[in-house]
Amino acid sequence: MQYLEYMTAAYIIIWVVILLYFLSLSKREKNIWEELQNLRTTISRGETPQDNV
Amino acid sequence: MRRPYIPAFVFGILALIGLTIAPYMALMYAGIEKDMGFAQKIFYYHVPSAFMMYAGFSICFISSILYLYKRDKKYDIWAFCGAEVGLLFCTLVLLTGPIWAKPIWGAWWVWDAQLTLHLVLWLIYVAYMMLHSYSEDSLQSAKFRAVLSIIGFLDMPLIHYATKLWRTHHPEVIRGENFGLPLDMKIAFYFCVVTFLMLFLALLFKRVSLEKARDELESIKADIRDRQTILGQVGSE
Repeated sequence: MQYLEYMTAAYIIIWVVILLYFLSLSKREKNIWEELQNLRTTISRGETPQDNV
Repeated sequence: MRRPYIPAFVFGILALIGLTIAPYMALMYAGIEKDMGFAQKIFYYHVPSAFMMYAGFSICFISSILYLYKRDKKYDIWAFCGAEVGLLFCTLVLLTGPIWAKPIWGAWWVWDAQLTLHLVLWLIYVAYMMLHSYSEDSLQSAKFRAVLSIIGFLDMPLIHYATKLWRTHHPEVIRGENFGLPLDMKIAFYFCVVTFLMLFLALLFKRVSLEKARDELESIKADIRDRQTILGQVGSE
């Protein structure tokens, strides 16, 4: 079990960094699609999307 | 309606399967190296991360050259996304390297050629990302970033061959045809490389789809602004 703690630390860091990046991507994607959808809805209603621009 | 992005989904599923099996391959299937013990197992994630860093920055480099030549926005999108995903893996290499180095070299960090060049590469691409985030003129920013990525790319061969060019603590990146590994370690290593490749492609395609959506959003906003300006001018006349 020589240096087991170093290996564990490295593996945890890798998984945490990848997970955080994936979550950040998902959050950014969700925000963009919501904003895009709002704009499309507003335009299709014939309104002027002043606040969104 | 959200657009399904098939490449990201397919590579994501493959990466998920690979990432489930990879710990078994690295921890159980591959033998324990007698001198480094469990610290050597960092190798199975550290080296594939470095390969994916090379892949990301290479995509950025090629797309940047194409952007400078053709001035097509899609190349800028691929360059930026390649840089971001490449930077993620570059960060992983920089984080796991010192954890491996501490028990083996007795120090978290040494200022030898390879490690320093690697840190310089990371800083170049951090600057690249900052240029994208903080500049207002996107065309000017894209040109500057393209030039910066070409400069950054020149650092990569130096990193790869640093162990041959200078005396460094870091071992040679590729030592002969078989990486100097026994069969079990080699199989586990190749498995991890393929898994990381799937992960890299999944993240890259997802990031590209996100950037394309953002670009589409900006186009719609610009279009609305133009219409409002025209309507304002007509109204004032």
